[in-house]
Amino acid sequence: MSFSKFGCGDDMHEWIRHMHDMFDEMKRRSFVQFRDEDTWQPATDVYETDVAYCICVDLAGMNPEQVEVSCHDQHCVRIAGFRPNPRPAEIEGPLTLHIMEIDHGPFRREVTLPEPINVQSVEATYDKGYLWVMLPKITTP
Amino acid sequence: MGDAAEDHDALNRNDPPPGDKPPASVGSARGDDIRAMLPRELPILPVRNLVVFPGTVVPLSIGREKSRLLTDAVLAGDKLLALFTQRHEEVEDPGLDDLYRVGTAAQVLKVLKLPDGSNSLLVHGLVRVGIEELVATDPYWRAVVNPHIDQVTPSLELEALVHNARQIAREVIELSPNVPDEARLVLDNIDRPDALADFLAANLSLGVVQKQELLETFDVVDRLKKVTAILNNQVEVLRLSQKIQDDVRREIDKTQRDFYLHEQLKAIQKELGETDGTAGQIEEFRKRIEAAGMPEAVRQEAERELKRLERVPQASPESGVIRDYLTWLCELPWNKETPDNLDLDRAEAILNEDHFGLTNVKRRIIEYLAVRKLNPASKGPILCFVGPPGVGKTSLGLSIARALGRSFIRIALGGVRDEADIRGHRRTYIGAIPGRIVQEIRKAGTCNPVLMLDELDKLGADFRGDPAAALLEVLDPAQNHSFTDHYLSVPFDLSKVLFIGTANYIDPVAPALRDRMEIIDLPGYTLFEKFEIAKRYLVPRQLAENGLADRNVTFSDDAIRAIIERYTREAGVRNLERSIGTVCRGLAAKVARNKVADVAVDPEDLVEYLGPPRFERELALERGMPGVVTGLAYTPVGGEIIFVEATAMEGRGNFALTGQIGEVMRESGLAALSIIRSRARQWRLKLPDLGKTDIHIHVPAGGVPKDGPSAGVAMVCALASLFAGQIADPGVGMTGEITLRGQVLPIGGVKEKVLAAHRAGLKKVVLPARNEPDLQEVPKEVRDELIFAFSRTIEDVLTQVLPERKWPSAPNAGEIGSSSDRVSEPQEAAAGKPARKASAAKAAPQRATAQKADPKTGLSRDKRAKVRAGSVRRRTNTQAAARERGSGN
Repeated sequence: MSFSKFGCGDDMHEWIRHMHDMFDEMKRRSFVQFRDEDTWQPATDVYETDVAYCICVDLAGMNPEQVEVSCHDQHCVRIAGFRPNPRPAEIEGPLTLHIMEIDHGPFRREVTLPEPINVQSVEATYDKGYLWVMLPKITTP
Repeated sequence: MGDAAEDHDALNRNDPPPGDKPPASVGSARGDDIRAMLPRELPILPVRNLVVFPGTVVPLSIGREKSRLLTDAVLAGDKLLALFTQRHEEVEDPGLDDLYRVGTAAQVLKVLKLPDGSNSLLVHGLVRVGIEELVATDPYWRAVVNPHIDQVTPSLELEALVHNARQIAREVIELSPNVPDEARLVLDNIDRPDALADFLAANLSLGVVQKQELLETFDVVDRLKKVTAILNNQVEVLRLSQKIQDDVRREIDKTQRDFYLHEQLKAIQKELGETDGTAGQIEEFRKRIEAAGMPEAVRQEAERELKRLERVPQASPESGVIRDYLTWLCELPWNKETPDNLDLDRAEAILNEDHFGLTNVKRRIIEYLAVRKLNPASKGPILCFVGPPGVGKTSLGLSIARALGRSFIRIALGGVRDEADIRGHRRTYIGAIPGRIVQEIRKAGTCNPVLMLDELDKLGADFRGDPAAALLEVLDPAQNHSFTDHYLSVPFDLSKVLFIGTANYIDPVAPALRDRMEIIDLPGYTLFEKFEIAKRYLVPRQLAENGLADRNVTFSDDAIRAIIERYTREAGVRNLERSIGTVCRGLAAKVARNKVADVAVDPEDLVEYLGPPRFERELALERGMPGVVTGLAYTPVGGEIIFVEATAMEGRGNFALTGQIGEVMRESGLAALSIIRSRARQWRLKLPDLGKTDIHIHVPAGGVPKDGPSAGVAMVCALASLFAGQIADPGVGMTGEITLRGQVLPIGGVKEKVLAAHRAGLKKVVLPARNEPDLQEVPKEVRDELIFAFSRTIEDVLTQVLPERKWPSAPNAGEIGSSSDRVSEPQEAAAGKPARKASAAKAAPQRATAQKADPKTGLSRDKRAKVRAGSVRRRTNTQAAARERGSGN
């Protein structure tokens, strides 16, 4: 039993939680991940100003042409594409892969924005491995 | 830079992204796409204790050499492999038969290095595959595989199954706090039935065999059904555990919370290395039990209780009960004794110091000490002091304790009606405590105190039990060595206790109880004794109490006597002391005000402090009158003389008896009248026509209730005096029980009555002959001043009271006055033989009265009658008696 909050009423909850844990321990429950698609999701930052949203996607090693940015309505933007396995350049012959952590293959990321954006004026730039997408908001006249 | 493409159409998953075509990527392509993407041959990775379902992302740890080689090759190539579960996990190098036939083709997403240096492959299951043909086993396995694509035929059943499964799965997720929230998201986002089934199957806590079965269930409906069934089970279990948890939560109240906190406290203390409160208590008790010196059986019981105390949680009320019990056990003086001071002289001195008189009691105590001196193992006697209030029964007990050097306990039993007062309540009752006996023994601190049971005659009994019966065990010397109090439930040895009971009257005490005790009478003090007590103890004490000790205040002897005689009427000395105290207080007031000293109190002064005299002693009549005689009565406050008055008047033959006379006395009155009537001729009494005469006997004082048979002779004498017209000698007091035969039976309270006679100024006392030995108890001074006459028959009495007449016991008999001389004859022999002679004696007087004057025959018969009448109780001395009588003629 833990003594983290000895003397407080939370003891009871802790104890109950412990009981829960014990029960679950008995059932040996752990969660198995499921992925219905083959795509991985790149890391994304979303910024907002008064007039626009700004999205930054961590997407190193891409050819800009391989990236697709699309909006299917005024609140949603989709970034998709395919990133090939990084391979050391100028090395031929057999390669042994010991550690493989970098995501590769098809990727897709969708971001939902609270305020409507002007789809026509969406711009995307690729710089130093970051994909920047500017999404101006619809200004109310 | 890529162009942002506007795409209003709904997302089509199968849109190939612009740019490079992905090499051999299965992606989310289904159906033929998969068949197209998957190579016919795949490296086979055996996995242990794990079944990988399509769609799941699972980490695999790579340990075996073959697996490592396989991994390297796979990573170098298209990152595709097939996973098959081993039937038995122990097999290091499985053959084809060691693997299940159905597995899962998967793609390697990541290769991670674990902290311990081993590799972990993150794989994404793609599709079910079956092994068609093994192609190679070295350096790793390769086989031809056959993918199985799930066929999904939409149907209502399938829809329902999906919906149902999802719902149950949601509940399972909700009931399992360990499952992360994304599970819910994933669950909600899967819409393909086969994927749903696989996701759920992967997350159920099942064994390998069951999971493999699910993997091999190609039919989606079937698969879903199976999964749902298992989910149902799980949800039931979860619901139940949830309910239990809720119940537990609800039932946790303060007590349990405290227990929980106590347990935590104990654990902390244990960690700190300190012994906690309970353990300390247990140790302490253990030490106390050792030190208490209990007998073996008791010690075992105590140990047993101690073990129970260890087991019982400290918060429960039972622990308190056990602790109280153990405390009691430890505090009883199992073997603590005070040594008896057996110095007999010292004991005697102390007893005399505290009390005056009471010689027989003091003698008994000294005897007890002497016996103990000679035989230390003797059992304590059980004494009972019986006497009126105020004679000093309780203070005598204190004195005895002091003389012996023992502790003194006093238990007042007056009004005690509940047996549990003696024996205690069983421990199972709330608030149970041991009985008074054990309680007081504990207070005394020794197992051989002097234990005084006050007011034994005032023990009650009701539905709660009979305390007198409870005392039987306590007071039985054969049983009290193992007195078992209900609370203690172990025996305690009371045999060393010196028990003293007190009572005002011995009759209300239960016979069984009476039987066990040695009754010692403390009958109350004589005037002389009271005087001595007052002079030696009471006056000095009261002077000191009232601050007059050094003021030279004295009481004259006459004053003391006056207080005793005129202001108190009691057997004891309480009122006496109180009266002396009143006088002292009055004196103190005077002294304090006037600063006067040197006061001597005389009888005349008493009026000032005590008011007019409250009691006048009945004194002997100066002059008698016919029909009045002086009787002697016994009261708890001492003896008293009473006057029996008889008078006759014209009437219709009524006979009245008044004076608040009790039933027995009333019967004596009737018997007296009958004797008079039956012997009138014998005595030559002239009776009036009783049919026209009313007779009234009255015994003043009318307000004082009287009872008892001992006024019988007085009533006869009163009537005789009345009808004979003779004045009874006012200086003669009489007492005795009368029978129709004319016998005088013995009475009680001889000493008190004689003392009363003496006090009243009588000269002669007529007693039943059989009471002669009781005269020993009368102080010599008193005995010497009185003349005693002993009577066997009523005629003897009459002769003493009305000496001017002759009272023949049979017609024509001569004087039988000699029977009034002192005759000392042994009682024992005679007492047993009255029966036969009695009948003869009964017959004799009748015959005697029937015959008138017939000297010859009468004499001889008279002689016989005389002999018989006189010797009704003394067969052995018939001849001596006859001789004596003969000499008197």
